[in-house]
Amino acid sequence: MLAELLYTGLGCLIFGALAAPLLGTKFKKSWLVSIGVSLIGSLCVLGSALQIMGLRSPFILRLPLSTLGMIDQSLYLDRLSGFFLMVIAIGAVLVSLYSFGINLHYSEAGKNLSYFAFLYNIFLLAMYLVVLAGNVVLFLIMWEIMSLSSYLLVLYEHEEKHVRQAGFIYVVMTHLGTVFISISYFLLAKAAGGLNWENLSLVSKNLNTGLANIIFLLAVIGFGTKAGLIPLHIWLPRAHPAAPTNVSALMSGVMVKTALYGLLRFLFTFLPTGPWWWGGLLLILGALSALLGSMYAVLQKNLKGLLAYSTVENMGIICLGLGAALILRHFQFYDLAILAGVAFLYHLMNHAVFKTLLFMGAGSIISATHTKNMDLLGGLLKRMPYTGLFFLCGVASLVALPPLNGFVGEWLILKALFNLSIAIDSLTIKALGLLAISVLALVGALVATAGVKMYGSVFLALPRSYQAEKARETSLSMHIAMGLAAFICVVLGVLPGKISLLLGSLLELYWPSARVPAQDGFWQLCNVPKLGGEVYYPLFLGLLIVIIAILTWRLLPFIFGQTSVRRSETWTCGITPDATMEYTGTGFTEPVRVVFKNIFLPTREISQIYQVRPYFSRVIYFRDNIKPVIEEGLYKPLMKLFLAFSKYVRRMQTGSVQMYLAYILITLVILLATVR
Amino acid sequence: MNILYMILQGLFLLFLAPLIAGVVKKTKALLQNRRGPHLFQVYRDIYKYMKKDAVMSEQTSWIFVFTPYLVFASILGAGLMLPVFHPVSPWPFSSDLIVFIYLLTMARFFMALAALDTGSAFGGMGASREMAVSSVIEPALVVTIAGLAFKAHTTDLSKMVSSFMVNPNGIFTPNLLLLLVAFYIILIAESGRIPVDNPDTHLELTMIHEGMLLEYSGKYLGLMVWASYLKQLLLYSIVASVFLPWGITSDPSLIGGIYNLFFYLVKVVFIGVLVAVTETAFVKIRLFQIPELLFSSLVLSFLSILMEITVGGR
Repeated sequence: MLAELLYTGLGCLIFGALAAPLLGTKFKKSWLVSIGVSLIGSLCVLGSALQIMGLRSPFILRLPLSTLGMIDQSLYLDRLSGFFLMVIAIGAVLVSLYSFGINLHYSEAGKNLSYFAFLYNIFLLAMYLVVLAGNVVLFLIMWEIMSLSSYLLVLYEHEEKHVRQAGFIYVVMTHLGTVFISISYFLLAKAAGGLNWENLSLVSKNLNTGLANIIFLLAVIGFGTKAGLIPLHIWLPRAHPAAPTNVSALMSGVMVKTALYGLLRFLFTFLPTGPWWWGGLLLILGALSALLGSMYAVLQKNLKGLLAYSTVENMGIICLGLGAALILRHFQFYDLAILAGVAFLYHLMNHAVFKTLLFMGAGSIISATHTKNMDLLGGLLKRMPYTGLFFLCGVASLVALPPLNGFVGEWLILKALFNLSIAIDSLTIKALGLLAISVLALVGALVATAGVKMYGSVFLALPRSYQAEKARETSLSMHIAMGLAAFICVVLGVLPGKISLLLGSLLELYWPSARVPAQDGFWQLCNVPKLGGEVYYPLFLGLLIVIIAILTWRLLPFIFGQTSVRRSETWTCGITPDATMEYTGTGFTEPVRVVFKNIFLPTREISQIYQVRPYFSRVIYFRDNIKPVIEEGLYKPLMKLFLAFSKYVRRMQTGSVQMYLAYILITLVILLATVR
Repeated sequence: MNILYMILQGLFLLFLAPLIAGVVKKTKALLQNRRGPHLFQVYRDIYKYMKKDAVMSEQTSWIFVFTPYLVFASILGAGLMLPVFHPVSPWPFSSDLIVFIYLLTMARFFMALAALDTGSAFGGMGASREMAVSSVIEPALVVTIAGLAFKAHTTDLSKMVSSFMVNPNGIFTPNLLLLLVAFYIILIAESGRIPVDNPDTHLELTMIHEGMLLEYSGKYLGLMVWASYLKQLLLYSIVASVFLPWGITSDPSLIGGIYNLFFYLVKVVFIGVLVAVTETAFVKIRLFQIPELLFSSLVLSFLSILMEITVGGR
């Protein structure tokens, strides 16, 4: 039953991929069929993912291709792949629903949608197969297809130069990452003597520490690139905003999670025991990503750019949790480790939902106003009430306001870090833990600032441009998709109990000898797992606040008598209120920029053309910028080095065929002599 | 029983908050050789706001109307997590300090949104400054909580108080005193007092919190003002029950409750007077010096934790 459902789902996607281009010549709306089929396929995959999460032991599914005598290819279904399959499928269902509406806008713009629909289905298929693959070869092929199809999707609006540039950086970085991943897998496979996950899972016993460390580091670099961990993130804030919005929702919400899947597969199945500094490294990388990601997010003008940097930040927070879990496990605090594990898995799931929601909202805003610049928007809440409401829900989750889902994840991760620094008796780890705690708190406040900036400058006050003033609400399918995502945010927020137990049982499979403390009955639905005695029942907290708010609203007129409300314009010292008087997003975050100027290294140029010096200026030019430390400090020198090296190598390329034949001969002789 | 206890504590805090604000105002006036407003003037102000008709900006959306209720409810909800009459708080489901500060964050988030919603430059200025200052408060606050958690092995307020009240003189350890100073700085910043913010002015050069309320009037303003006094009282109460754990008994009877209440009032009034003294003794510092002040709070908390780890707080 499971296999049939899974094959149906994957088959739908293959059909969807082929349908659009094949039918495309016959009738123009063929992409609708394609997207519809991808929706059905993703629902089937979601169903099978839920079944896979119930499996006690790994289930190995031989692909039909294997019987054709090709390489023995199989799918490896266990709870870990089931969980990630579920996360991807939820994102895919939401985005497919949304795509019906948003693609209409593209089709009005005269875009070729069968090309889009083909790549979209291939992209989804590849992501599913990445987490299902049970073999190094299949994994790497699917990983590559996923990267390439998303690269082509990023290039969808290739008429614009910045999109092509973003695409180029993306494809270079992602291939760099793939190199590291491949080497890491090949080293592992060589030691294991086989390419299947079953072989690789037995390897850890006869692997020496040095090699294990190298494999781990290679995997962290490789998967870290895809996950957008700083300093490997540079492609992410460029590629995600450049892609069409439904693709950026998938890339930011879901695709980056496949990198975590890869990393977790290493840490759970292949190399389950490692020294504590593995966790420490992830903790440091996570803290760095969270901190810089949130800082750059705050200063973004571009709506999608802000969301992309916030993805970097959230991946960092997830890595903080993962690092804490690994360290706790190494020091044999098995129960605390499982709770930290639940924390980061929960946050991973949350991020997939609310980031998809926010990108979908951003897509609606952009298609209604045709601008991504937040300083040109404003007043959209009155013009797009539904989008505004759902987007607020997404922002509140992002900012981790109780009782929404973002808070459950952050609370659990914060608690994991508290446990880490209190329980373990080592000064280094305590210091690391405390550093991570203060970083997480700072990140929380910065994200709140970014959230206020984003929502305030896009949805509130007066519109700052003609486009924003003329914005209209978007289509129904987009509302349904966003509403559904907002609903999931609320449910994951107020009823975390069952889900966190499910995640706990996932972890118990890989980290035996510990259990999530069971709670009974109704309570377990509402509470998060108990961590050293602290509890938090989000449902009741939410109800409490709603009840107090309603009571206040009803009782105030009752106690103090009825009062009336008169509408009048905002007081602006006697002038008619105007959008130019409002704080723009850029102005809003100026204090943050000044406070953290040592990190942003802001530069500012002001030049004036005077009518009468020095008091009456005719024109004032203002330009401000921040110095991207990592690009300038790390990537520029590397690029220079690389170019210098290329210049050196160029001497070999003489252009004469005889020379090349000689090279081939020399290489052959060397290979014959060394490799047997 | 629990619900009664919750309602009682909620109403009590609501009624006490303006009084404490009045105490601070009165003390400050006396220290400055003024007669000052009547102790109950704050009550009269709130009553006046509630009775008045409101003027609301045409530019605003539903966020602006919705915010005062939400801010009021989330701060009052946070108030139910505090131990006042009894070392165990009336809210049975959580008295975790992290949840507590995130409730305050929620209030701040919506307040800033409402301030931006009016489209006035003052609102934007207030919101922008508030968020920037909060981004330096938050790390200091959470690390202070971490310092307390190192001592009490929990971040749950009720459990923390229960473990500190056994030996109230245990507060006289260097690391807890450092934490107290660190928390006091945060308290000043969070409740918008001099030297961080001046609560008595509408001058745009200095205002942070007041800027955000500028467009509110009538009962909406009343709710916002009441909520900010309540928030101030909640911060005082944390100091009163965690850092000054004298005069707390876990006796659940009426006598026990009255005993706790008496000492609670004494402590809260004492902190109010202390804040007034601080306000008189210091001048308002420039906006961009606030991070330095809060950074010193962060460093104090780190020092305290270091002390706790190395010498066990003796």
